[in-house]
Amino acid sequence: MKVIYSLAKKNLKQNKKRTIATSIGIIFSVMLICFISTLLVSFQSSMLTYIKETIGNYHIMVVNTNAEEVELIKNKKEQAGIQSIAISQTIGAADYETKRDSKLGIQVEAYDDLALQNRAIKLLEGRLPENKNEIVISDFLVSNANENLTVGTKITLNVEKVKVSDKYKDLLEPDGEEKATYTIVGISKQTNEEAENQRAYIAITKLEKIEEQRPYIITILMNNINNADAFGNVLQETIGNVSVNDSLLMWQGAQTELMDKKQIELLGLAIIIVVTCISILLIRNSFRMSILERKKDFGTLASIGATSKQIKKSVILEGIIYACISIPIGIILGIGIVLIGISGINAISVEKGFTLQFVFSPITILVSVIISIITIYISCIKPAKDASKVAPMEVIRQNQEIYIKQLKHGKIKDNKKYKEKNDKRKIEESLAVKNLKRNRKKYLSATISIVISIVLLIITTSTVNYIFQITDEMYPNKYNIDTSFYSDAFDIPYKEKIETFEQISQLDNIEKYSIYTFFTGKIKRDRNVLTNEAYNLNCDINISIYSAEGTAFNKYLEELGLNYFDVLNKAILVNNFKTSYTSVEEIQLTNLKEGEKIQVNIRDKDYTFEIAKVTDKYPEKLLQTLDENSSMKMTGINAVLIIPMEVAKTIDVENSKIVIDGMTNMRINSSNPNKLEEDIEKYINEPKLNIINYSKMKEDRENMTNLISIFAYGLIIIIGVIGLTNIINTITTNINERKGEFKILSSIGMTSKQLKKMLRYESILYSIKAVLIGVIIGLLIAFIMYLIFSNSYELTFYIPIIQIIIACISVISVTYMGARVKK
Amino acid sequence: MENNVILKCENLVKKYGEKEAEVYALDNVSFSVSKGEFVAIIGASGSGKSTLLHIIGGVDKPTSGSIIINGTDITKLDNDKMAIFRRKNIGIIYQFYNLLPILNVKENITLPCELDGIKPNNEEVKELIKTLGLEERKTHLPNQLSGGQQQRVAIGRALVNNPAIILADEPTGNLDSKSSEEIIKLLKLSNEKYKQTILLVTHDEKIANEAERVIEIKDGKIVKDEKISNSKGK
Ligand SMILES: Nc1ncnc2c1ncn2[C@@H]1O[C@H](COP(=O)(O)OP(=O)(O)O)[C@@H](O)[C@H]1O
Ligand SMILES: [Mg+2]
Repeated sequence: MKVIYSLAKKNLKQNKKRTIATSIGIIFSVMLICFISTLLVSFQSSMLTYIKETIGNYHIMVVNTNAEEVELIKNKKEQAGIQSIAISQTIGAADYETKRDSKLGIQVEAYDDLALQNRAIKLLEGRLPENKNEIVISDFLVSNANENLTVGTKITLNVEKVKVSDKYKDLLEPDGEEKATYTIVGISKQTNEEAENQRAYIAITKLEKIEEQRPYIITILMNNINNADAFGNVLQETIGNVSVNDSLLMWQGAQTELMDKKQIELLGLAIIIVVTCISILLIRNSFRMSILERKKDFGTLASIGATSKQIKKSVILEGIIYACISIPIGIILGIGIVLIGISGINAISVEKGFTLQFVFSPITILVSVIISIITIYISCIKPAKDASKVAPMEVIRQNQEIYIKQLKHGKIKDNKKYKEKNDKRKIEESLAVKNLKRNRKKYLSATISIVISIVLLIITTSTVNYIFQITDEMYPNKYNIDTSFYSDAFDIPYKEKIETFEQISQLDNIEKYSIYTFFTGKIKRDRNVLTNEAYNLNCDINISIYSAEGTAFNKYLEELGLNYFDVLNKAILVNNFKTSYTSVEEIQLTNLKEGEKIQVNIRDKDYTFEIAKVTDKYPEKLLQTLDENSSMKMTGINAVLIIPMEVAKTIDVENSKIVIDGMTNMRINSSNPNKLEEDIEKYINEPKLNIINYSKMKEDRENMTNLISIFAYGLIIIIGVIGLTNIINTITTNINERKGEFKILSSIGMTSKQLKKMLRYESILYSIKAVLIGVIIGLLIAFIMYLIFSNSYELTFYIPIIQIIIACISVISVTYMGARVKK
Repeated sequence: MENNVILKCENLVKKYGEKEAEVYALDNVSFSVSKGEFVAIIGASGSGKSTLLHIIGGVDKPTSGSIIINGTDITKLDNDKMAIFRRKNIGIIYQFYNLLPILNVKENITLPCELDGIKPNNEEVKELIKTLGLEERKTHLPNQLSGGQQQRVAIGRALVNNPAIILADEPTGNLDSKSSEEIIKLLKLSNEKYKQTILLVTHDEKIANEAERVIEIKDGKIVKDEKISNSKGK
């Protein structure tokens, strides 16, 4: 046993070049497997944290429920496999005046311990409430309050309590009033409940004693996550108001219809499988060559009495030594790369509030180790068997017959042939070609590794290029900041919104901007106003009313030969329209002239506008604001009236039941979008303003793509390097095996110069062959990818010429240098 | 005399090829060797000497016939059993030494012991190395040695387990005459000193004359088997 171990160790030491190359291969694959699995686990755990922090740590939530139903659920605890039930109750609400007109007061909610823990309260300051006189409020309330609210502030509220109606469980009834003084002990990020509540802020206190008459919200955690969905359905049918936390369930690993997690896992698995296969290929080749080179030694060992088991063990021991050295290094490197990658990803911060945390998972490490061990085992088991099967006779005979054999199958004949034919080819070349043909199998795995690296290189560069092309297409290039109000900003009057935009337009770093807003209105069916054609449509005519301000609007005015003062308090009428999307024919709307007045009904109110200009020119560019290249084409189905923003502000849409928000927005082309975004947040300070920074998004996406491509290039380079060492190994093995042959060649008069030339031809010929195959396969796959991508995106086919040239040069030069013989 | 027989070959036949290409490398060869005998096997090139030695060494199998070494019929052993038997009972010396290039002189010599899981006796090994004249080369690797020195290492390796029989196939075939002499001297020495049984294949008459008994093979048959009286021993 000892001698076998020392044989294995000595052999590894003897062939340092190969040992290092093989170790690098193993380290790299272990590293990659560890990296991917740790990243997956970290990502999953981070998603869980993120979901728990934003949505909450529960599987099922039941809102607006009552004591009776809660009792019902509690009774099912055992039977349904409920792990825990967290309870909160609405105590009541108190009037509380803030800067925000829509929020009328503060609603006091009492959470029990579990609810405080599980219901996504993200404290920014202070602590959670510990008794019924302490509350946590949101930063949103703090920023909107008229007074200065901080941790420690006491506020007195006149709480109108509520109870669930006896008749209808969804109905709340007043339940007396109570003056209560609360101490603010914590400030949290705005909770989902508050964001969704249209009338009140929410203060969270501690539920000390359950009061059965008050409405309940309960959240349930299940023992078995796979039962959550079914139990949720049961509750929905019997009680109602149930929501299931699908994303938590998905990331906890339940069987759900959501696919994100599975897709990510599949991708990870696919990469691991590819890496494992490549590793097996490379490591096995390294072993195979090492065994081939030592065939004679194995024969000798057998002849002096080593059993086949002992020989097999010795080779497997080499694998074990590789494993012992390479796996720990690979694991450490893998974890290191995860740490670097995570900080890289966090620096880019794809989604606000989401941070990727590193999770050290012993099981993942164990799985990586096991996969690596299996990889090494599979790689060395066949070569080990081959080694153990070497019969002593082979060695003895080989020694005696090598010269004769070489002479028989050898080159002398070729030499003659060459002379007879008087071929243009030199002898070295023809010998090289013949050798390649003879050694095709030996070169196979080296060839495959070159082919794989080149294919991967082409695929990766193409993919990266396509992602950049798609990224370019995905984001508008005429503007980089898009601001609008969130759809829940009902409370902000229309006029205020426009004024907010106008304030923004005063900030620095704005090159161009455009504010625009949109209503629909009607023109009454009136023979005096409408043309005959329009009148004959037999209905009121819909008219789109656009209002704009900024660069694009000014340009439009310019096109119409107008200036700002011409349209002050007036309107521009686009007089022609189509009756349907498909109709070709356009209809004239009115016979009105410039200077006349048009009456439009907007949300049941009549407005009269003086017409500054009647035109046929559809304001396409205005509607696309700054994005002149947008593929969106306005069809002009409606008649269009364009009014200046000053006029639009006078339109009373505040009490309309129809939500028009989201159709008011401002697009900016900023010279420094990130600074502008900061300034807007700082100076405008409007939490319901949604700022989309396309430039940053694009940057983030490009950074992400770059990060991924660095990773991918790293993979390619290392596979490439292993491929190249593989080639050198193959060449040196081949040279060692053919020493006898070389002796004969030189004995028949081949100079060592010619010999070297022959070897070089050989190496170059076959590396060119491998490169060619790789390039062809790679381009083919890249083209198929292009076809698939170009279904959904406008792309130009990309050939990574520079990368291909670099790959060719490095492969050929390395093989050229690798083909060296000493004597 | 009979119970002193260490090797007994009976009706050994080794056939290569089929039908027209049929070659009988060994054709019904029978002989026995007693303990402590130094036998030279001679014959022209292609007469079947190596084949005979390989079959006796168990690295090749006969087409028919039996070989009994120390009471064991080795033709009935499978490869692994044969390997174990070989490292305990047979030492083989080849024309091309066949040393392991990664092991040094001492390690190469003690390899059969190690394979057997036996700690070699340090004193004995030291003595052996001294006898072989390799004391100063103990830690050298084979490629740092001359051909003659390498062959001495191979002899050491064959001797280390104190085998029942040593088989040497033209051990001097690759050496100059001075080295050849040394090798033969060594073999003779071990024959005398350790009472080793030796089967030496050679086509050199002069070398054959150093042995106590000469077996001549021609076309796979024994044509002559005689004791030489001029040898020093008996
Ligand atoms: N593997 C083999 N296949 C076919 N014929 C063989 C093989 N090995 C040896 N022979 C033949 O057997 C005969 C004896 O060979 P060998 O024992 O090597 O002779 P020697 O060692 O006396 O020179 C020769 O004719 C040789 O050609
Ligand atoms: Mg021979």
